[in-house]
Amino acid sequence: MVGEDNDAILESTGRRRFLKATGVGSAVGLAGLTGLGAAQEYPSDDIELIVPWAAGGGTDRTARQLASLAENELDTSVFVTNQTGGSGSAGFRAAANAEADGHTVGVLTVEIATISHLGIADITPDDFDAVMQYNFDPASLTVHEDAPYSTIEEFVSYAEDNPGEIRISNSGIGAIWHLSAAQMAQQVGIDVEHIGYDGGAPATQAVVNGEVEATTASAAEVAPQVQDGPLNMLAVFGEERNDLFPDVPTLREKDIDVTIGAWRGLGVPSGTPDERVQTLNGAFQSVYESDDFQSFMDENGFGLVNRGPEEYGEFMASELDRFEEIVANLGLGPGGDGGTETESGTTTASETTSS
Amino acid sequence: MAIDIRHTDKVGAALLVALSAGVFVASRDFPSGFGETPGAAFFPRVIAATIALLAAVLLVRSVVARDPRTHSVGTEAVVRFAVPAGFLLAYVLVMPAVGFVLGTLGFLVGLMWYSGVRRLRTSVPLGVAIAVVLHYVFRAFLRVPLPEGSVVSLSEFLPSLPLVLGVA
Amino acid sequence: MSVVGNLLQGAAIVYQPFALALIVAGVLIGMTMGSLPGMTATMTVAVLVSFTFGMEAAEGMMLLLGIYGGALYAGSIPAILIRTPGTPSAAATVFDGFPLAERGLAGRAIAVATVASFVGGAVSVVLLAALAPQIASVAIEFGSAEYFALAVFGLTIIASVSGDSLLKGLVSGLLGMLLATVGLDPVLAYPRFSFGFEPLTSGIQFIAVMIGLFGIAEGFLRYQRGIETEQVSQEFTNVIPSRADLSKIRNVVVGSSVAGAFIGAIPGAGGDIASFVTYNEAKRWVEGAAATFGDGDIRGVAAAESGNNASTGGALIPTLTLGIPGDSVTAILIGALMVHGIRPGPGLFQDEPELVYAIFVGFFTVYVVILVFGLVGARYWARLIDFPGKYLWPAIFVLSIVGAFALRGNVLDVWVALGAGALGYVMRVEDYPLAPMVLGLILGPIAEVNLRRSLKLSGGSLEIFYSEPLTLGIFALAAVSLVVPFVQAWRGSNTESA
Repeated sequence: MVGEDNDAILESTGRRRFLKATGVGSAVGLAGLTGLGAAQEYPSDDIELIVPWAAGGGTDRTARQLASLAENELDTSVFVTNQTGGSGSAGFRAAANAEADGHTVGVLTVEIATISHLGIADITPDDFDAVMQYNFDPASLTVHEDAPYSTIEEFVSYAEDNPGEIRISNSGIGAIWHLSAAQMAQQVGIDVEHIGYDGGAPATQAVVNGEVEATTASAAEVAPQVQDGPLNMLAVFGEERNDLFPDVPTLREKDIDVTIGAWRGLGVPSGTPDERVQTLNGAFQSVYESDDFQSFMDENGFGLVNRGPEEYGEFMASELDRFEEIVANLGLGPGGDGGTETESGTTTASETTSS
Repeated sequence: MAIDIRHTDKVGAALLVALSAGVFVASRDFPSGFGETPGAAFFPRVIAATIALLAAVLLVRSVVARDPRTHSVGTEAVVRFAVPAGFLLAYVLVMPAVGFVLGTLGFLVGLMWYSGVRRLRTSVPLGVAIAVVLHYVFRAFLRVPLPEGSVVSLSEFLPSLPLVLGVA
Repeated sequence: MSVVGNLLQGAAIVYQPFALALIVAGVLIGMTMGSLPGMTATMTVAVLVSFTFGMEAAEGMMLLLGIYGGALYAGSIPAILIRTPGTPSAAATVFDGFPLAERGLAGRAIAVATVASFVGGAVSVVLLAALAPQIASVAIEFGSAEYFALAVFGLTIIASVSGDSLLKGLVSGLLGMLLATVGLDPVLAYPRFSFGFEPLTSGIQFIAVMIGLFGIAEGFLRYQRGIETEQVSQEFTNVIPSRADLSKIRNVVVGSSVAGAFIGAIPGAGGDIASFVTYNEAKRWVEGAAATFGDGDIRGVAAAESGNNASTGGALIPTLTLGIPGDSVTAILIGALMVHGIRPGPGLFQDEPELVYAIFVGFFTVYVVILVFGLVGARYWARLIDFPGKYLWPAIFVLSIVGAFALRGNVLDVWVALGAGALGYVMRVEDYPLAPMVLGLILGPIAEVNLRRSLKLSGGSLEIFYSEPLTLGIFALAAVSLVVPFVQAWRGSNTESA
């Protein structure tokens, strides 16, 4: 094993010396030079973290935080690339098709469990081995304070009395807040209209302007307009109440059995050797538990939820099943309709800190 | 030798009409909207119909004007367009096989030769410099990996920059 | 937060070594490219925008704004020296600049152009900083119907900016709108015109199209017409304007700066239109100008140059407040921000005030840097005029290809850029203006999604479009801007035939 490595290194040093002689520059690391011989050592190269959403968005910012903190844990350079498009499918596909050697890690967001049902791309959690979940942002139900309802019960009975009159804005058709609103409506049996916007911020603004009656964007996205603006949060769709809004009940507390929201985690192409998945999980788990990461997530309004490889894999599988049903009930199924180009979850988390 | 391409305006108008027709055909299976609202085909079709209408006006105007717009295209002019276009096409097609660095070097030296830089002592170092600088700027500094060759790969031989430079 | 506080926050971002270095680099690149005949600000920004993807959004903006201002200023140098505008915006500068150069007064003309460009740019940035937040605070209330009306208004402006070929301009705009419908339908998420090809479901990348239209197509055109320019540059000295010249141009510069900024704020109307209008207006209003303009009057140079640089700050007004580009360069800025996941519009002033104010402070700084470099170094840039195209154009092709690839690390975008290059070339040869296509690409999707969303909100009733006076008013403006150019064209052809 070691002998093979030596050969590879010797050979590459020769090449480097040649390049030095021609004045191209000096070498520092061996990254990029490793041949097949070095495959046994891990990590033997830089680790690429593929973010399927644009730089500066919520997923990108959390991923960059993970990457920079993980460099110490893994003793190698961890860098982020943004491969966007197709509602996340471009980045998921790039990660799934990468070599299953643990040097390419995909950031898996909730869309991995929805886009196959929406007919956008044929890619599912099955194409990955789960590494770790690090975030969950539940949906919330937020309305205008001048509305004739100020509790979730009043909202439901108003919607029952006025079928089709309530319009709920979301961050895009088929995106997570749309599916969240749809599952809530299905569960309590109300008839509402779903209106898609280009992201959580315009969806929130539409409630402020009175263009729609409610939104299901996350607590972090609506927080400034609830704290200092004219909006009123009626319920959160998480397991527990939100720290920012301790008085707002969960749907569960009101006997509505819905827990839904956006989540983020890490995965590697399926078939990656198990010990490498464990190495990655160990490293990212320490990052997750570090004070730096915890305070970053808190300050930016990202919800902290943690699952290990096995749990996260099972969770994604159950999400895949759940969304299949919601999408089918909405009539968005394959052959066409559903999904948009907007990132779900907390996209502009600076909103929560600027107030 | 010069070739006259006549009635280019009429050809253009006809192409636009064909494009609009194509849009109508390609959008026939698009889903309709919720309830009474316009579906996926509505907007492209409105655009296509307007293009067809304007193309028709252009056509009529050119017929009425009896002044067929003619491009006198000398062989030389065709070559002057086709050579750089061909170089670009070859560049993009060959890049996956030979990678960014080698492909760029070949493209630059070749096109500069055609453009009048006949001294390889000038064009080769220039080509190497541009290719290598771009390689490093995009890979190390901007973290955008440029294509590596599947057949020959030069970038493998290029050392990594010190990590300090990486803006992760 | 107060205006001063916001400006200080912006300054804190701009006055960092890296951001300042980017401003200087941007101005240097912009001035270099602007000095080269045929290199437009749009082209330079399009082929270099990919370098900003790895930076913070605000830092990237510093580089791009530096290029924008620098190129628009330096376009005046070849306009004055060799009668060839470096950028289309400097076309009106030729009228009085070249006659001055013929009399051996090139240095004086360039000095006037430098000061006029600085004042024009600086005034427009001040107007931008004063007006944009106000407009944004109104526009944040806009609903889907108002946005649809605004997009329609922006699209009708295509007619006004199409110049001589009204019909071809409209076709160009419509082609842009059509191209933008490729990919997922914004309401039903149905993949349109992707023909089962998955990468196309995410649509045509706007920046790739811009690289093709303005980088690759320009290269094709240059090669076809011959890449070398005449070697006629002229030595000159004395680039510091005299006090007498300054007082002579003072009124013209102030008037043209304000006018240029407002023209720049009209979607699609960039520096080229602004400088022609300010030049002609100055000719009408300035005493004695009718006789001396066109014959080497420094006030003519001042009017054109303050007009075109003032258009830059103006163009950012609709760009930042409404997400509707003021010209082709600001359209690419929108694309660059969207790569960073930032969507320009009134929400930007709430969500990213630091970025907005960094743009204000940074763009003002750009013009200060331009003033310094212009007064100190215009002589050196003048030597670039006959920099051989045989080195330049191959490199520009490489930057175009790399830029398109770097967008998403995707070869499809390279093919899109090549296709757009071929399309742009054919359109240029056939006299189809390209600016309307840019407007169509950006405004088409805004128009569609807001139209369909409005109808869904109203349950299919069209009443949503005429129940609000604001919406009606914008539609009325749209009607006027569509009809006026047709009437003008019709009257023009009547008087010709009479």
